[in-house]
Amino acid sequence: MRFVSLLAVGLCLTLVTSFAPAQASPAVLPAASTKASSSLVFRPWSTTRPRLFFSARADLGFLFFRPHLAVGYGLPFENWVGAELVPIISSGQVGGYFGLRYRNPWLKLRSGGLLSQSFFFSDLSPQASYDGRDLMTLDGPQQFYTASDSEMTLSLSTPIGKIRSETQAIFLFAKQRRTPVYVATLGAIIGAPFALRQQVRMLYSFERVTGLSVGPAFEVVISPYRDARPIIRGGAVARFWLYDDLELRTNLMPNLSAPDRLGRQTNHWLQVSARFRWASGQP
Amino acid sequence: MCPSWIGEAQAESLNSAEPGESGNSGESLDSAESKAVVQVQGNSTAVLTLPVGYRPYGFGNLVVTSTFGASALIAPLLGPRKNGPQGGVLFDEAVRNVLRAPTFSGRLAAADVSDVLLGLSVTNALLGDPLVNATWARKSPKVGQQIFLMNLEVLAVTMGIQQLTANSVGRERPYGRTCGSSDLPADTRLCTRNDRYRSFFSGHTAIPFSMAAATCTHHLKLGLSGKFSWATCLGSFLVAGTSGALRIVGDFHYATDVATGALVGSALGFGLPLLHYGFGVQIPSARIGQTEVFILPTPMGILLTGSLP
Repeated sequence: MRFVSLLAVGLCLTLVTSFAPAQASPAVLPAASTKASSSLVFRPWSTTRPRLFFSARADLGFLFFRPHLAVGYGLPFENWVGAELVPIISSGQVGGYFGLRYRNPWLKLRSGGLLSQSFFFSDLSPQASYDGRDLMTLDGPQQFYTASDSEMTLSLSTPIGKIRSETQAIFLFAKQRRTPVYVATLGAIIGAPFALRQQVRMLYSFERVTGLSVGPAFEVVISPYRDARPIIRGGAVARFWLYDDLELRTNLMPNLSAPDRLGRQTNHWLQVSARFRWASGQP
Repeated sequence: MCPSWIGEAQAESLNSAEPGESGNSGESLDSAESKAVVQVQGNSTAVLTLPVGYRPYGFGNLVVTSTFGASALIAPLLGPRKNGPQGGVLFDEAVRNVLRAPTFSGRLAAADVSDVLLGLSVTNALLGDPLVNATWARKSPKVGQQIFLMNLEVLAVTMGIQQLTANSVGRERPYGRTCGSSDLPADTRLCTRNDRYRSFFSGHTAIPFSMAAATCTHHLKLGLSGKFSWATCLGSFLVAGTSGALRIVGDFHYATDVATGALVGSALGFGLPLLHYGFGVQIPSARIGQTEVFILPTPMGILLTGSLP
């Protein structure tokens, strides 16, 4: 599926070349220039009109593909209210998130249900700490859980950059208190029924390179019902908005302190992806 | 349906063609591209053009890409051959004894870093050079499109060959001999899945080497990094070499798996793009009024060709 996605982009390139209109809009013509920092086209989503819309977002990297679908009213990706669906399909698990979202330029709120079925490991038994083998061993029923997943994001523009705070809370259903559960979206083994994640990051923009912002990021995952120290992650994030529908994203946030040694899947190691955006009614 | 930046590539393509020239980048891309001169040597931000004699990615290439890509997808579902070889050959055991990390966590970390390097090399080849460097920074979407398609072709062929070979050889990975020990319980998925028998040859080595060689070829042929093509080549191969070495540290491959991957990846990464660019050194075309003269080195000697108004 991941390879097919890559292939689809290639096919798109080929097909667009073959069936392109005879005359292109001057608005999208790139001017030959030696200035490396200017974007060819930049139409922020906030410049469109409020409307009912259907939108899709996809993060594509090697080897992963993360789709995100939404229906709502307002300005897609900028200022809207509606419902969203995030299928979670990987070689190790299948599941999804469905919920409601409100977003404006400085506040994002979302809340919904999360479901996950793992393939390669069983329900975990209580231990002081875990390592990668615990998430590879199938010696009983495969881990399955449902949960509520809520998040609040605050964005604040300052003279030195944009500060962003993300607060996420996860409540597991139908699990005995203190039962250890691996939650992939947190990258952590938590103790049922509750865990919190708090991330703060600051993004600096550059005048010379339109669309590029880089900055430090820190994250803490706290699981009050597990007798273990919190996970602390730190590093840097970068966002490079090349076009109105295409953004390159890089996250480098390894664990600085963690009770477990679970490997890359729970470390936010260097990950580079391209994020495509599309919404109905976009000019 | 397709992202707007792809549309922009087409817009540039259509409008860069002069009256009477073709903007079609199908099999027979002739006048606009083949008359172009290399403009970028020594100027890191100049608009890029494809070199004289360039053979664009066409339907035949799409068939090759799709066939090998499909093979790469299907091969893991079919699974490897039973009763494949076990243990090392030649220098395998000696290298394993020196490089293998002593703890499971160390081996897992090495495998993880190798995964990251593999991802980086492919991301750079499919997004970095085609999209950011050529299309965005150099305002050359048509060149970016061709780089993307060539790299996709290299990736598909490399993965296809690697996956089919891994299936047909069925060699057990070096960690396989430790399955059932206290270090690696027998019911971990490393031991229970077919992937345990797909050691030869290393995809985590072949793919980064193929991407490094393809990247190197593009930079040398197109001047994507100006005078610093050598640095890009060196960096790409260092990443590929590190990824391969870490597969031995992680106990996922023997040294011969890695060496074979490096050879196959390099051969495909250099060879496939050169089928498009042409072998030998391209000499920029000489413009003589409305007449154009090309001097092209070929395996048989030198070809003198050109066009009259």
